[in-house]
Amino acid sequence: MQGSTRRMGIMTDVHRRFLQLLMTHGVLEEWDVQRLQKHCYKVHDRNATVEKLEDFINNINSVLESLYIEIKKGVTEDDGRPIYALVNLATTSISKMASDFAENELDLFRKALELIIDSETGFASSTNILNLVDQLKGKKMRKKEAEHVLQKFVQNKWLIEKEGEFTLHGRAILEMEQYIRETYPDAVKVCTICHSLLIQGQSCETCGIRMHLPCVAKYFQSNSEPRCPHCNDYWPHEIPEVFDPEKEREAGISKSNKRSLRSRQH
Amino acid sequence: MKVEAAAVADACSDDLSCGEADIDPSLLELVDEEKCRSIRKQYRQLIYNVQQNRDDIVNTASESLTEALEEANVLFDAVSRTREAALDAQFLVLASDLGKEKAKQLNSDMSLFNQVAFCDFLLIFVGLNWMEDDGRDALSDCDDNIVRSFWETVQKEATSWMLQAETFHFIFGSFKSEPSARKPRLEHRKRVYRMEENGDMPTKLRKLDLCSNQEATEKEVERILGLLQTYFQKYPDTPVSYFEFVIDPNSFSRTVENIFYVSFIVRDGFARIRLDQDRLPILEPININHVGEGNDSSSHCRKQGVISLSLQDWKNIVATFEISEAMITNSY
Repeated sequence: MQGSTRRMGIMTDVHRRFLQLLMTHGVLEEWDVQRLQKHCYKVHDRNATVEKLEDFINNINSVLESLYIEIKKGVTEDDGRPIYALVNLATTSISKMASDFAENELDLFRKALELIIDSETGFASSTNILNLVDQLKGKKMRKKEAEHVLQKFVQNKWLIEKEGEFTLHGRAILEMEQYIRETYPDAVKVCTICHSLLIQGQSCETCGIRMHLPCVAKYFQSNSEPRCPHCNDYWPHEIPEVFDPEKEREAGISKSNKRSLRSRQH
Repeated sequence: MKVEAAAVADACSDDLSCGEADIDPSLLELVDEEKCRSIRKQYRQLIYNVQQNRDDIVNTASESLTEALEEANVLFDAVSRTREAALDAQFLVLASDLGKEKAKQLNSDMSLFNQVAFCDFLLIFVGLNWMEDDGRDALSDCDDNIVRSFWETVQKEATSWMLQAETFHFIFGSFKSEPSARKPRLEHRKRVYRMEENGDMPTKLRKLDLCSNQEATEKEVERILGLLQTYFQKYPDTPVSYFEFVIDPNSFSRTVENIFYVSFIVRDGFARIRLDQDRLPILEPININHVGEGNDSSSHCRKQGVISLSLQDWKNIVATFEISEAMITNSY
């Protein structure tokens, strides 16, 4: 084990409770994370000042480093909401024994992942995924079962389903980015702005560069004539709005009612 | 009878002293045949009753076994011959068997778990006690929603009694082996396998099923099979391009119907779909004589495939393949 670059922090019950809560949910939005952090302080250490979220999480990460687990911060590809996910970083003999999903279910996820990466829009249709069910490793799976498994993935926040098509959830992107870059180096798409993995986004029709929707929003913010940063052609797609947590809280829009303002465009 | 008895008595007095041998003189009297027959009848009745009510006696905490034993006791007082005694012995064996079963059921453990009672309580807790009236068969008939709601209610209550921390869920790192070599990306977006009609077809095709009734479908399939076979006879050994065959450049709905009918032909084994060297699907004849090709007959019932064709896809295909007229002519 290499020497830790971070000085190992101290975990109190506040941190432990927070970590267990995050472990239960898998992935949470930032406002939820802040609320939970305050809740953990209230339960265990009423009088202490609430540590800044970033330092709080870095503290926990320094302790988890030796286990190859990390709390990663990311941004949802369609909305630009900041999310935090607890991800696994290494393939070890122990991680291979994970029993959340059976061998054929994992293979289905892998094949769906491949289809999503290969697709133009970042979405793979359920028919195409189901057509590959015959080639799965492990126990033979019927197509009806495969539909249930895909729903299980959606429930556990590994995939997102939209109008019969599937794409990767922010959680999966945070966890699998390294794997995707290593396994599909030729097919992987990258955002020109932030240089991280791109599944959904907008692309320039002339030069083909791609950008995440939130990256587009930030880059072309209050720009009346958006132009491609690479070829300077007029940017043909609708520019989404930058995600503003304050505005959303004021409007009191509940998550379930909020319709996506962005269209899935390419 | 009397003479015999007297002779026995004499014999007794000769060989053994009467005082030692405990033979009750009343036993040696003439026995009433009628009485014996009625005793035997009563014994048999008793044995029959006990056997019929076996379950009752063993499972309920009733006095019926004791009562039966007492009845047998009373009967035995009147028994004087071996024949009845044998019946009494038979009854005794039966009664002691039942007694043993009852004793086994005695609660000698400190905590006894009665599964049946627990199940009843569970159903009452979940609010499904209406099921008890219908009998146990109702349990197997109830649909998924009831089952799911049952387990959710139980879970809500049970989790509050169990202190359990959630485990760490992840996907990365759980793949057991290295990913297989990547297949070259297809230029043509559609992958076609042998198709088989089944309930998992996408809604598009299912709706079509409702439009045409069974007979019309079969007639159409036969007609198209005839067209296909005519083509194969005219041009032997040349498989026809699948899309050229099914696409009707003038009507999208006819195209979809054609795909539907051709899938029946493939399912019934009159033709097969393959990909040629350009990775485009082609239709090939299967001669009925060639059933001996082992692989095909076994594998063609296991493969399933789904085709999705949008209006745009259809237009693209018509343009790409330059299809000017439909190969499958209309029957009307």
